[in-house]
Amino acid sequence: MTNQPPAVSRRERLRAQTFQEIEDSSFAIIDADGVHALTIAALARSMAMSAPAVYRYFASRDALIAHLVTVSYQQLTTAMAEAVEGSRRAPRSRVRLLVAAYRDWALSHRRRYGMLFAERAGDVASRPPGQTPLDQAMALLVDLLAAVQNPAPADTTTGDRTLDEQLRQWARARGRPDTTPRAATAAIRIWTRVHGIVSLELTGMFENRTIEAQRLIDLEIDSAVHAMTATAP
Amino acid sequence: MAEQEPTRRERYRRQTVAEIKAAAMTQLCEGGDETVSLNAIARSMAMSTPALYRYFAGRDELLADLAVDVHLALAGALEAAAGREASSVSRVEAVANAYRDWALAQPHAYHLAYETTYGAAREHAADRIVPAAQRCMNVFLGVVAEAGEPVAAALPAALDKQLRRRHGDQHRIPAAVLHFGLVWWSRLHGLISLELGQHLAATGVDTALLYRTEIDAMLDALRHRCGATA
Repeated sequence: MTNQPPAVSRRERLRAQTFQEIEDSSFAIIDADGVHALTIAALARSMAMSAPAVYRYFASRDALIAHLVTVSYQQLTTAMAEAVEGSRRAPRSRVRLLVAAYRDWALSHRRRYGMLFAERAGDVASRPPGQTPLDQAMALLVDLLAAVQNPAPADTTTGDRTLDEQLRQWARARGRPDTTPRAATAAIRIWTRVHGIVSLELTGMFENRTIEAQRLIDLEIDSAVHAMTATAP
Repeated sequence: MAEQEPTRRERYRRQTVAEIKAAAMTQLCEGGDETVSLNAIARSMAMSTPALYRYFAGRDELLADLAVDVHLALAGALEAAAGREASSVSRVEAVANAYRDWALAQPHAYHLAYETTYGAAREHAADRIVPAAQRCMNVFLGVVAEAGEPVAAALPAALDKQLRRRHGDQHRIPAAVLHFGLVWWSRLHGLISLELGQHLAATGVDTALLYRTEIDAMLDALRHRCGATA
């Protein structure tokens, strides 16, 4: 019994627990007042800790926010994946489920969505090319669209050669070289258009609620799918 | 009867408000709304922070005022772009291009007006911000309506009803134009917003090209007078 791995020490357990508390308290501040309200001082106050004690877990506010951004992306992609997991419905219906889960997450985590998409992504340069935090969700969407497009129409290009080439490169970089430019462009269009609707909805542009954002989104999906499967681009 | 000359006190007040807003707008454009600080503004104006609070009840009130100004400035830029073109379709194109150009030139201001989700502006200046935002939308709806009414056949009945209820008869804009305007405005915004956040950079796809192909699709839809989502 000499090589038994040491049990997690009490100290480490406490550390993990505090780490989790920092995460929870940070999200509580963001959800209540937005990311601008999250400072190390405010966080320390809300946890009845000293600021130097918080700095033992995160070297800076930026490091803390980077961690929260990563966790939020994971929550969003998990919510989307769970919405379609094990579903036996047609691929097109699953696209709708996937996108509806995206909007639901945004509406129930308004300020976290704002943190992810309304702020400038700071560390783009440090990310390997072709990798986005939403890659996993985009991969789900692209795969579903490929299933919708099956059998592929004779012409799978977008009608713009430069765009086609960039879309093929993107598909290769993501390990899905068979993705047609039209399926790839449909995925990007669905994302940018749905983000547009959700973002305006969150900002309150559809103020009096008589316009159903979900209806607009479903129409956008139909339109992107139609453009992808039509015989002429 | 001529408008009464403002008192010296009132003139001083207006001037101070304008100076505070100019300082805040400078901070906003340099570092975004997170960096707007009443303390720093007060310092730069050699005022005490409590004195500044006599003009703005708080940071949110000040940001709300700035958001109104941003919407009006954007509306002005869109109107100017529309005014430079002769044909109706090229006016739609010019407005769409001016929208992106303006946002890229003033990313923080755009962000404040279109993506601030903490609702400060809406709470503090709802009576001014909605008409200000509507002015931008109206420029767009105006050029779309001129270019020809998209056919309403593509518009689902339920949405048609919602649009009519929303805008009522006050603008007398056909529902098909409203739908077209709303759909394309949100499409262009979605693309610009993700571009500003550099979220599309990782795909390696050129955002200017994505934007151009969206505009081409929009103009095609207008030329063929089809519905917005066709």
